[in-house]
Amino acid sequence: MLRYITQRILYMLLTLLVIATITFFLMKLLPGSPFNNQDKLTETQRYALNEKYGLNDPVPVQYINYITKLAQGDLGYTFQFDGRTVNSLIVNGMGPSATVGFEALLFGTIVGLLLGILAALRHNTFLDYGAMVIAVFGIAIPSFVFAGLLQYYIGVKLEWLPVAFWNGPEYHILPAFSLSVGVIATVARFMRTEMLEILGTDYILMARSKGVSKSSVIFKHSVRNSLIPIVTILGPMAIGLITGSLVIENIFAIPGIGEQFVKAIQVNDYPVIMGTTIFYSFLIVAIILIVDILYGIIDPRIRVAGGKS
Amino acid sequence: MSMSERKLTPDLFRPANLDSNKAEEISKPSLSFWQDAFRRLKQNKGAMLGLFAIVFIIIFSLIAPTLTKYGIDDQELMRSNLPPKVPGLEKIEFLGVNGVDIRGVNQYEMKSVPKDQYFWFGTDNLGRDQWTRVWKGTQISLYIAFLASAIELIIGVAYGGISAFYGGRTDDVMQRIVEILYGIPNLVVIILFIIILDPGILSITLALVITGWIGMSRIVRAQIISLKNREFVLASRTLGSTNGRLISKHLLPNTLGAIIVTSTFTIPGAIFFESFLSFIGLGIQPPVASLGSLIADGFRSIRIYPHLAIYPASVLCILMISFNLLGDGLRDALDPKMRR
Amino acid sequence: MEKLLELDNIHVSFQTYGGEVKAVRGVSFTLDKGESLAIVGESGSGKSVTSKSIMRLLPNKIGSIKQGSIKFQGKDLAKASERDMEKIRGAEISMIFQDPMTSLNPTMTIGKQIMEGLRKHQNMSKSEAKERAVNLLKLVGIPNPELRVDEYPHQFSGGMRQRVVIAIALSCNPKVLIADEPTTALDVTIQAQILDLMRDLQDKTGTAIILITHDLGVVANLAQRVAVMYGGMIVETGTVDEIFYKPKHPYTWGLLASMPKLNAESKELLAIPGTPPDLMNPPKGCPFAARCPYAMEVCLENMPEATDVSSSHKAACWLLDERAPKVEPPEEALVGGAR
Ligand SMILES: Nc1ncnc2c1ncn2[C@@H]1O[C@H](COP(=O)(O)OP(=O)(O)OP(=O)(O)O)[C@@H](O)[C@H]1O
Ligand code: SF4
Ligand SMILES: [Mg+2]
Repeated sequence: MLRYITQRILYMLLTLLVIATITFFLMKLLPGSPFNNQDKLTETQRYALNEKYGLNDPVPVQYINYITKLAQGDLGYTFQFDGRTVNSLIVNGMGPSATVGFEALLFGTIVGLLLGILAALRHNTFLDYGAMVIAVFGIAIPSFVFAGLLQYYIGVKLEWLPVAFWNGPEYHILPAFSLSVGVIATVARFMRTEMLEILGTDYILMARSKGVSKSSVIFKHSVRNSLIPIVTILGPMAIGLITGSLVIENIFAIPGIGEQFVKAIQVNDYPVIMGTTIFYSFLIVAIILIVDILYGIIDPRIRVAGGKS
Repeated sequence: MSMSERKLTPDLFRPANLDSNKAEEISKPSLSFWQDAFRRLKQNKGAMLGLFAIVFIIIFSLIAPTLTKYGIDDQELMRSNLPPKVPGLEKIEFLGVNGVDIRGVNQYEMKSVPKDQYFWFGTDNLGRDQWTRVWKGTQISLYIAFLASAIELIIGVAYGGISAFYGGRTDDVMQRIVEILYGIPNLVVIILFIIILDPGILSITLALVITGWIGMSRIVRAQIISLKNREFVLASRTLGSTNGRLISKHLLPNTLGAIIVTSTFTIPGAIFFESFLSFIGLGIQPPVASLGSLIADGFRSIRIYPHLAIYPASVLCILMISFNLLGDGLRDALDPKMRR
Repeated sequence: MEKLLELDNIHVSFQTYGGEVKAVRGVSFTLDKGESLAIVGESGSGKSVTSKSIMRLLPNKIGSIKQGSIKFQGKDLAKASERDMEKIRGAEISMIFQDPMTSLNPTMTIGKQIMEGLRKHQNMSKSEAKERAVNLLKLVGIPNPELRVDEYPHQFSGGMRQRVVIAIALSCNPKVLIADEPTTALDVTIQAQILDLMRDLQDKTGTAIILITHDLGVVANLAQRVAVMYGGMIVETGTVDEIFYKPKHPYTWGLLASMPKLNAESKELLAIPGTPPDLMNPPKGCPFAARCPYAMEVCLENMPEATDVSSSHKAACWLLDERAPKVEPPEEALVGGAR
């Protein structure tokens, strides 16, 4: 198990190095410099700025510097605000982003699980079909379309909830809900398939033949066993949430990482683009790693197999 | 019992002549795999509805722009931001297609648009006909999605096929590369590539392809590896089939189901990413429009001119749902084991 | 004397997309205390469906008992409520399934799975139940039971798992044990061990057994009486000796002929040609008519009634009618002939 984890962590670091390298050189390929927009700058001022950000060094030197700093967790300075580090921008944006993401994940998972379990227990009934229609819609329709529609109907027309910004709990509801729709759909669908499969297994029949009560069969045997593989979709779901947060934060003007990232793209703030890219990559790769390890821990079949090898 | 007993005459106790084909009659004729799959697909109402909607939208997006006399970039500030107005339907008030905006002002009268001019989906802030732009945008979105899926399919099948077919060291090296690439979040790669290449139809397509082919290659590889060890392939091999024959007669046809299903899901994926890019400012640039860019523009002014977002968003949603329904149906029909 | 279990004219159907599958069409048999009855018949003849109906474990909504009664100690299980059934399952009647690889919950320890029934039916505390679980494992021949109670099914071999399943089934001293092909999925050597174990346990506990199988060799080993099923019906019943040495039904002949004989020179298996009847549109007459080499005109249109051959031996075949030509069982079907 330990060897497996070490190996996986090494792979993860290699992947991150590849990403960092690609990001760095792609950024170097970009035409123009971030200061081109500011026409007022004189030649000397521009030189001074380039010097300050290390942009006058030869590219290989810049690359080495970049990777060394990165290894220490230093993502450099943003071009937009004087003297502010990318790290501080990410730390600032982290609060709102993580909050919305977590709320969406929590709400979506709970609702999705309930929907999936009910659909499976009421297989081929109206409830089942209803849940699956919701699931198809939730998977197919992009979260930003939901966000826009909710913002217009509930925020603008009905004025039930704030249209945008981030000033208190009631500001969380629309963005978190828009973001959770995909989670609900994915979890519900997965849980339903998994439950149906397990309800049809011999060991459920065996449990019933022991006289175990219906609720015990459902919760102790079926739901419990269906929950284990659900862990495997946490990775893709986290990626979906991050993707969604880029636009959702933009639509609802939430001061999170996603909103800053989009802004950085629009004003060519390379260090922020690079830093956030690497931060996102790190996040996703780490989540996938944790999920794999977690899966090994909660599934006894893998737990022991992994322990022996 | 006694009643039926009485009717039984001794001559009934003679050997019956059972023609042997009577036993055959009982067993149902076996359908070929594809006929059977098609029959199952036809029974799936959702999938058929999806297929119908997709075909309809494709054809309509080609015809619709020719139904009006306005081009995609015909600007006319005098008629900007007009709400939708449809001849005939304008009389039915609750449909909201009578040229009256959300504040109850008839914009057509206010801007003194000639009586015979109708903009079925309204106009945007530059006075361009939204109907033309939505359907042209649908064309562009579909074009990008189909192109990206086609290229992904070619690269994915070739890479996965070669990797699985040759196996051994080739497979090892090729799979190490895939493993590292697979770890890179596609969101990140796509955004970086668009930033470098400048947004445009081709660059968006390329950005989608760069990570998209990996999924296809993994599925093709897994399928071929499992097929390679099956009896009929081994048999064909011992009978001296050439590699080419083996691939074209045995491996590809049996992988086709999985390839079709995967492609059906990559298309809505591509549509989603294209519109997502438009949303964060990396999508199709004006004057060309895609569904994503129209929705993004529309959301910016949704409080005053909701019609600008609603129509392209509806088309996008219908397309996405249809492709998903069709994909689910195909998966159930072609590969019942893959059901998920 | 009252019978322990009495099935009377049971009909079971499944609602499928294609229509109604009449899987069991009028099955009747009885089971005495401590007796062992074998049900044999080829795949799809309705053996499992019959046993699941007794346990009322047919798939919800799709499968249902259409007609008939299942009297267990005087109570009709066909009409019992789900709550009553929960009290009977595992405590009075329990079941062993065909594939031990899939009949244990992979994420629950063996011990917990044995304890579940004990805690429910015998109100045992956790520690009592665990102690009993260890004893049961010892009883079914699992070495180191104290350690192995806390292990998961995947840590056991197929034969070991079937022993565990038997331990679970017998944990609450049921009066009836239904074993649905308990050895089919196992190696030949393990099969013998499991059968020995079952016979051994039956001697000790006096549980009545319904053994479902399509292996006549197993029948000879374990059962006292045999019921032969075909096309959802019982076509012949009798004692083991009657079925093996004086079979009356052409289908039983076919079964016996297809049985591998250890001392026979040719090791070739004789399969019965043809396929079982379509249970959606079952034939009006004898279900075996399409494959029966002795079929007569009467067989095609009229259902043969079960006819007494002796007090314990019944067969449903028109050949037993006095008007029918006399037919002798074929050479291959004579088990005794080899002696
Ligand atoms: N859930 C179900 N839905 C529809 N038909 C079913 C179902 N379960 C069983 N059947 C049908 O009932 C018939 C009898 O099945 P059963 O499982 O009792 O056969 P069996 O005698 O146990 O065969 P085997 O030796 O293969 O176990 C079969 O034709 C089968 O198609
Ligand atoms: S009733 Fe007729 S068809 Fe059926 S087994 Fe007897 S002889 Fe054969
Ligand atoms: Mg069976």
